Amino acid sequence: MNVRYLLKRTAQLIPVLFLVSVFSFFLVNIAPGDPINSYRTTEMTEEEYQALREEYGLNDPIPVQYLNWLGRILQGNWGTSIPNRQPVTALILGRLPATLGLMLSALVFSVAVSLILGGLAGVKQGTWVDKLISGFTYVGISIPSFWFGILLMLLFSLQLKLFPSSGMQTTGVNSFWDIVHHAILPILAISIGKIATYTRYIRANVISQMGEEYVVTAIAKGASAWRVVARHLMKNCMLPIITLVGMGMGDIVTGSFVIESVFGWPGLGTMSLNAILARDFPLMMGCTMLSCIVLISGNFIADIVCAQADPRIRLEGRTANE
Amino acid sequence: MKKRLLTLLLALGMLAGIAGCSNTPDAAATPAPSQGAEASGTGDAENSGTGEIDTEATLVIPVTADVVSLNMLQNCLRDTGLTMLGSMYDPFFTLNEDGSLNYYICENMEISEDGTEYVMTLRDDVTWHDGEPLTAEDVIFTFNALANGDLNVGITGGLSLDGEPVEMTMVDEYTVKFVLPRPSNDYLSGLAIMYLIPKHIYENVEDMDTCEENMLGIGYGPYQLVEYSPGEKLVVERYEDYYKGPGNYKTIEYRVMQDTTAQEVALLNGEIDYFPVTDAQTLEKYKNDSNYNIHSFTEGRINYMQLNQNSPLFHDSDKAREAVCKALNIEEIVAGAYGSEELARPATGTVICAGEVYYNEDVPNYQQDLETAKQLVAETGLDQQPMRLIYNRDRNNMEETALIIQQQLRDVGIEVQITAMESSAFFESFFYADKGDWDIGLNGWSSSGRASYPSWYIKGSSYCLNTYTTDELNALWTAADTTTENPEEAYNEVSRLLQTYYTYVPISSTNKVIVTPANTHGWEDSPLGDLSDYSVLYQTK
Repeated sequence: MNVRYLLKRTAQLIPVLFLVSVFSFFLVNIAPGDPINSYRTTEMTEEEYQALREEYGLNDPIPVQYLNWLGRILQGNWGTSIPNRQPVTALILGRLPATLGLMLSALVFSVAVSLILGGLAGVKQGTWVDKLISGFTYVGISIPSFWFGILLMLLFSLQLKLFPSSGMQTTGVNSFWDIVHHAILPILAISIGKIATYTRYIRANVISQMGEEYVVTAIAKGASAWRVVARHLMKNCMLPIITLVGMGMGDIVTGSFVIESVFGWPGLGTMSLNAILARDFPLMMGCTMLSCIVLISGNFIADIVCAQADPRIRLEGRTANE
Repeated sequence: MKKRLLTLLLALGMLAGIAGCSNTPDAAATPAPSQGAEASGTGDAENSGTGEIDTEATLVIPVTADVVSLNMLQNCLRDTGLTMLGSMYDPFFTLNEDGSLNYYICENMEISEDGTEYVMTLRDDVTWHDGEPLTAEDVIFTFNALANGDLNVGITGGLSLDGEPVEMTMVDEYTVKFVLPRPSNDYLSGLAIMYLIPKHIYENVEDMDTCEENMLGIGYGPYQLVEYSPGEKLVVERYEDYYKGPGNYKTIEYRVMQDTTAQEVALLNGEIDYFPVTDAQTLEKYKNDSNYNIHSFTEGRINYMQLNQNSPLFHDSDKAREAVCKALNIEEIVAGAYGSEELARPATGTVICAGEVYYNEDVPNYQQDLETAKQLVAETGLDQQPMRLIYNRDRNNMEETALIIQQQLRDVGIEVQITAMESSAFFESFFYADKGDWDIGLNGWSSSGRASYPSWYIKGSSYCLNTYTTDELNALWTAADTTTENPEEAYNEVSRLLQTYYTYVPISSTNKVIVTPANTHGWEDSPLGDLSDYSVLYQTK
């Protein structure tokens, strides 16, 4: 691993984060709405209201507000959520495990299922198996995840009574399996789109790789199709998936706003959504920046993993032939 | 082939959806039947069941938002806070429609003849959930904390009248005397929505806005805190030393569920015991289902139409405002928007919410007069340019109301462009209307058990920026609050004067309608709404 490259890429994160913070802060602040509404009571006078805005620095020009915010962030202070009256870091850390658990599970599940489906569709190209899987991927890409979530809820929760329809834990039950039981439907709802997308990429890659000489050689030497796929072909097919997963890393933090809301999952997604609705600027910025950091880091890690998976890729942008 | 597969998959999906929608709870999920039918319920009283109170039962109530903290003072002005923390805290008393008091932690309230002295006697058997007795010291401490701006409690109330302070003295361990600078008919309703914080917990706190003590949740209601998982649930259990006797449910769980479809699925699945209904179609569905009861409560809410005084169309033009008010048929709007009188009734002309003391349904609202409206429209040129109507898309039935108003105004020649706004953006536009970029706004206000004048009509209030108000109107309101002779008529005078300004049109007076499993009871005995007294709720086996 090229250490210089790693340091260079890490340094590149700083201007990206800065630009994202500038754009996010300005967008958040020019949106209509007032976070002080959460404090306002019918008995509050206009003077008291203005004093509260002053206290939170909301009467300052936006560039001044940004610099104040940036100064606090650089000192490790992410601010205090206005309606929740709690530090942003405490709120985020409190919700992070629920979202991470849900989204990572969905990611692992999606990749595992799409490897099987994509591989199968690629190997069985043109057969009814391929057509069935392709049909599923069209539906999966087209279907809104929240609608699919409600369908799952109606079928598996209401009709078949197999899973609870909402929440993360049964009250009074502290077991891992209880959480898994609650997580299955949201994981399925989140995964449907991912599985469909990943499957299509893997299928296309399998088909293109099937004609490559190393595959033909392996088959000529008597290796079974499945052995060829599992041992030789899948490694090359993983490259686009690694890139896609890296690009989707931002979701890992903010989760699925809608799915968390539909299933009453107490994660960062619902909290971010509520922060937006309440114009809770500090919390909105906290969630945005965390999502950005994870997204950039995800892409960075994806680049490294891609280089490890395919030796032809050099991290400095050179190829093996050069 | 591909098309056939797609068709097959879509058909399977649709079937699953349809099957789910048409579900009837099976035996496992069907709530146990009740012995006695609720007063307004439709549950099947003939169903089998022992009828015994199930003291091990859990009541699960869905909420669409979470609390700010477990300190009731930070939550008592929000519907979610009142619901979620309502079982952990009790009011001093509640006010009945006839002005009588329904006592909770307060045992007696004496008011002097001149209306300036209030002597409150607390029960001597009320304890905080940590076992400490609740005394007059807690009352004095709480009110002083509210008055101390440096402590950042977050709300004010019951502390002053017209800028003059209310004096409080502790007469003895369980008695507090309040001396008002002038008589106030509204003061009792202000006390009715006050809650206490424990002195022994908070006495050394310097900032009550963000202190850790706010998460201890030590109250004095029928249920005490067991577990709070932010964004997910709040669980409370029966407090055995509750002064009115332990509650019937062993546990109450408030579950955060933002999606109403998910709430309904959870109700049908037997996971929750409470579902608010906002449309006539859903209401009709449950009316015909013997597994559930329907309860309707006066919500104390007026949804109204505001004409923006800063709009170029209405500024200094009484006739333009009158034209709009006279073009409306309020009965037709409410019937079309809500579809059932159980959900909402046309509002009367009073500024007092239904269910409150001094509410008078005989004060007439604006009456439709199409001829006059058309004449005024032509006279003022309102037919020459479109009008902009804004509403809060997060509020129920606002869209339907806006569409019917649009149609009615079109009938007199006024074109209306409707803008649906997300809640935060709406409130900023609505209350800070100095730009005059909208003409008509649809909003609502709830009295929360308080017969208070909407503060956006009181000069100097942070809400009073888009409304047309006068010194005469403010003086009349103060007079109505002060007079001891026929205050109801004085409030009617306020309403009648306000009507002459043609700025505020009460549209609907809404009810809160909930569906509960047929084996849950006591909802009708919970005064002033559905969830103000959890100790009377119970479930039968």
